[in-house]
Amino acid sequence: MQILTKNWDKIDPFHIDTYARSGGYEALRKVIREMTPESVVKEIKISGLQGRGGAGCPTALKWESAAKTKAQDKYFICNLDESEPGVYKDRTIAEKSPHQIIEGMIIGAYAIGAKKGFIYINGHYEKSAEILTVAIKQALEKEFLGKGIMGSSFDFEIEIFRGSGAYICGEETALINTIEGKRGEPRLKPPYPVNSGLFGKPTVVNNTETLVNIPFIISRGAKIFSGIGMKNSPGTKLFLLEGAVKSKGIFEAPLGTSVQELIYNSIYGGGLEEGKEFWFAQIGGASGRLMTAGNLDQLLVYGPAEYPLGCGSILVVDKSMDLKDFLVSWSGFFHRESCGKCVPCREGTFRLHEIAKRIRNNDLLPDDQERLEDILWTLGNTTFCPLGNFAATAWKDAIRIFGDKIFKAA
Amino acid sequence: MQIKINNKSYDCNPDETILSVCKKNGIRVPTLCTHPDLLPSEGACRMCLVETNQAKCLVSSCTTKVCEGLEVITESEKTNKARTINLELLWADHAGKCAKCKRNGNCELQRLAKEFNIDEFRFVPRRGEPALPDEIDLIKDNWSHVVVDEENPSISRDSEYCIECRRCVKVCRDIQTVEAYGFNHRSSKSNVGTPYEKPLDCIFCGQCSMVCPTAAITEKDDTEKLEQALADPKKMVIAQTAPSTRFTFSEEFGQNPGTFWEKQLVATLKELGCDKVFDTVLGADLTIMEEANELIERIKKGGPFPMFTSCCPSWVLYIEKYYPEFIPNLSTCKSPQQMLSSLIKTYYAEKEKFDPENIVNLSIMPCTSKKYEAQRKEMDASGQKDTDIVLTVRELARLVRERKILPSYLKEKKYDPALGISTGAGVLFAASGGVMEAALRTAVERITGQELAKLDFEIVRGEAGIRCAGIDIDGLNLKVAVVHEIRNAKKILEEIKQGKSEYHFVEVMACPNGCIGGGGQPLPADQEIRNARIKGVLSRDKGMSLRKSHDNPVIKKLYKEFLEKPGSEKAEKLLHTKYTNRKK
Amino acid sequence: MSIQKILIQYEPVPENVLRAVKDVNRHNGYLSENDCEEIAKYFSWPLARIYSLASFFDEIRIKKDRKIIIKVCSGGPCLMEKSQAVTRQIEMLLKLEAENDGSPKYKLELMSCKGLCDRGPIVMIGDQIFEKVNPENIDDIIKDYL
Repeated sequence: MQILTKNWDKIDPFHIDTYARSGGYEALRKVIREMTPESVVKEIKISGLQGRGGAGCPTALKWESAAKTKAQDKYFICNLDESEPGVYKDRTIAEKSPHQIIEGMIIGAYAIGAKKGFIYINGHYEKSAEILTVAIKQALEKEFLGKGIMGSSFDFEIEIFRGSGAYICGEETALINTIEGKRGEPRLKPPYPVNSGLFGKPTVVNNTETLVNIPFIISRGAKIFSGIGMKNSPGTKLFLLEGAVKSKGIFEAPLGTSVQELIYNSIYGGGLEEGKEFWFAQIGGASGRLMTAGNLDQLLVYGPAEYPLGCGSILVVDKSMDLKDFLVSWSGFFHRESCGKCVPCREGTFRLHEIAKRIRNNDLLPDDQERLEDILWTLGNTTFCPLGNFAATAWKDAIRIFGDKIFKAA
Repeated sequence: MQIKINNKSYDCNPDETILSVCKKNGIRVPTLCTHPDLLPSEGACRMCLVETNQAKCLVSSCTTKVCEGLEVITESEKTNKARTINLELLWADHAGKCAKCKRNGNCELQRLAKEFNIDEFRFVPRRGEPALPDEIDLIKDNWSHVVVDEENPSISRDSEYCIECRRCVKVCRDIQTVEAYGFNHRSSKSNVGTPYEKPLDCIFCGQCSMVCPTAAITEKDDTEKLEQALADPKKMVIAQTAPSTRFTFSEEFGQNPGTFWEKQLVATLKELGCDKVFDTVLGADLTIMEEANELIERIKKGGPFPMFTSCCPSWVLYIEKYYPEFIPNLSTCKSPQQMLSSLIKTYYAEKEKFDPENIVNLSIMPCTSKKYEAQRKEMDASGQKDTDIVLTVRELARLVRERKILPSYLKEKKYDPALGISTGAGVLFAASGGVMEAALRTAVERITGQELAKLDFEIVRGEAGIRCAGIDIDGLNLKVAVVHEIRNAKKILEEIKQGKSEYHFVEVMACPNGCIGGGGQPLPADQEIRNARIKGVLSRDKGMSLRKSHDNPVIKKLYKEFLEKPGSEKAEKLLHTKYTNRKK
Repeated sequence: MSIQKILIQYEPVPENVLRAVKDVNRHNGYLSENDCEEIAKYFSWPLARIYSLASFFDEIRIKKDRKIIIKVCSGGPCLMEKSQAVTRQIEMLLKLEAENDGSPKYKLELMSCKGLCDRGPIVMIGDQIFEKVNPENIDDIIKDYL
């Protein structure tokens, strides 16, 4: 099932015409000619589209709130700062089909009444930035952007903003802070960005993958979209298969596909590499949970789920790997990426990494196990933003699944 | 609206946080990053976590607003566990040498550590000296970088004690608009500090030391200098005490805020070994004489207006560094401290036939910035450094405690009369609006030539950051303003720049509520405490027989015997000063 | 390019602060105290605010590096492609320890994901990114770089 990636083969990212020829900007034309902002929001609401960044919040909810506010200035931001380890779907979208992003943004901006937008691109994504710069220029020339879009009275411009290497800036309020020239620390919510975001103005921040669904929903209709995938989690998702699978890479599959299918079906992962034995899979990057063989039938959906699919990566780990390397990898990552503001995260991730290194080096101190439990508890329960919980998730699973083995000298 | 806290109902407003409702009703919730002067809180320390019926997880009570049907539990197994673990984490990132610490016994972290029984390092300490040689191997990876800054005369910084609560960043940025500190770096390397770890470059108001929960930012300790002077038999130590100190010194010894302890303060200084104790309030009276004269001269000459007061050295430095175009507007009068010091080393030394070189001028101040002011190059009217040692109230109290002196048990003593008679006008200098009120009492009488029927200018008193008034003096509508905290001063400066205000005379104090909230005052301080101190000041003024600076008999004598008249050549030399453009 | 020439390209509005900081950092290799002061003046921001922002990000250096910094991605996908063995190899080659600042000439760090997981393991030396590194070719990569 392909709705997002269907035309990618036909598109040259540097030429807007190739996108237009495969039906691109038709949705925008429809929106401008036939739809009011309210009807656009309504359509997205009917579609049931959920944010593809990780949390899965209904997209229409953000749009509706922002559209309702009476503010003169509003902003529409595309979040292309993906930095979850093992996730590169948004980069791929930008490199394959940049106008799909831009079209989604323009429609979103039309729906909420924003005149200015930003694409917040990960600082390392040079090629994405280059492609999107060209794409914005071409869209301007074709009057899809700028003043009086397609002969209407709707104005919208897009600026590119480059991140500078900080995982936490993928969090929408931290992202907004850095555009304002502040440290990338998450803000207190409420107020939510839809009410008071960039420069205090109503702001919608949508993940890149979320936005590329918009043209499809508008041109084919919300009903068709909501018929794909699961009732409470409609549409398709870009899944990333990595690690010990035969075919690695990005695969579009309907939401509600099981991990089993994604790993073993020949149209996706095609099973494990020769001679490798499945050990566990990590779902959704470094902040994701660990899934053992017995749970592979779990369906990946947004909304309440035992194994949140996050941004959709599946890292398949085989039995030849050493768990200790993963422990150090997880703790090191969150230790580096903690913004440092709140005590449990700043100190907790540091101590977690300290203990991880002791586990790896087989020189655990007495009581380290008890310390570790306390750190994971405080990370999971007391931090300012969800990063603390992210840091603890995989560790907690590792301890639950592999138990004392972690603490035994190898 | 009503909410339930620990199963009891309390009234509250919908825009209040859980923490503020708790505080109002005497329910203690621990916190390290919240300070009542610096709201809203950022929710960084996670000490104030509570359980509610609205969320599964713990919430920080300092950032969570109340809502209909809210039920809060402030103490539970879960909150205790959270607070204990986070404290243990903080504790291992803290110096952990309480016995030697300046804030020992008055440290917010120490207090919580005691309450939660954190008596040993559960995690490998990251700061301070490693205790045992075999620990060095263990800690080499996690040692955090410590910055010690002793480069300025006013404020000491030692990041070993810092717990990254960021209160100093907030006070400096939001209240004083100087923004000398930032929260720098990321993750466990993040710290509060100056850019590029440069020496502190600010206005030395010391408000950061007022909000610091630990000893990371403190007043520069000059007690040893005093001990040396006291031990030197050749030196004559002459102390002076700032107007506000007699209302705050008592707090250091367990008295209620605002308790008037003038005679105890004098007795304490004598007990320490000071040869004479004079009163800075007399310097304040003298300042009024000179400043009122300067104002009248400016009115005659037509400006430059507004005239700004100049007794707050942080304010003066702020103008010099950030708005040097307003230097001509600053009154040329020295501060009371500097006026009195130069007189001690000239007038008094001549009169008593002392060699001024053997005089050590000690001043007890509410202020860290006075330390800076004392060592400004131009403060040498007597031919040498006019003020030798400046101690804040906190330092004095520390020294007194070290010497095991109990001020409340000492026999009360009066100021030495030679330079120790003062008026209510001078006492008013202790609080914001006081200089203005004292100046008006003198200026109005001097201009009209008639005695004021009512001495209280209530119009310039109060808590508001900017207070404006028009005073009618014989047909002249004198427009005055009283301002405290630099953020408010900045507003006035910008208004003046845009030609929006037409003040004649503006009093500015850098610290909240003036010297009573000074950077060297006892800890803790908040609006409630400062209000109590102000109450003490106003009631003292009311109760004094002399309430106008020009009625002070010593002042009259000084002008008669020595200074001739306000603005005389001698007064210019000893009591006035010049300013320097320090803008970068 | 002089710092003034860099700054003049930016309108002094908040959304340009980080852009300017990054631009100066790229041109000069790091953000010196003087650069930081110039940026602060240009945007009329306090120095502390610029420094606080700049020091937050990985990409911006606030000190001139005296050592050659080598970073190996420690993300899951790179780990699966044996980035751990690459780290070991570098440790052996340069006789140092990862995440320990003991070596006088080099510094070996683990880094966060750069989103190039399909081309891992990823190694960065200075600002240069190397893809599909393995224990066999890392020696040559380092030698070529030096």
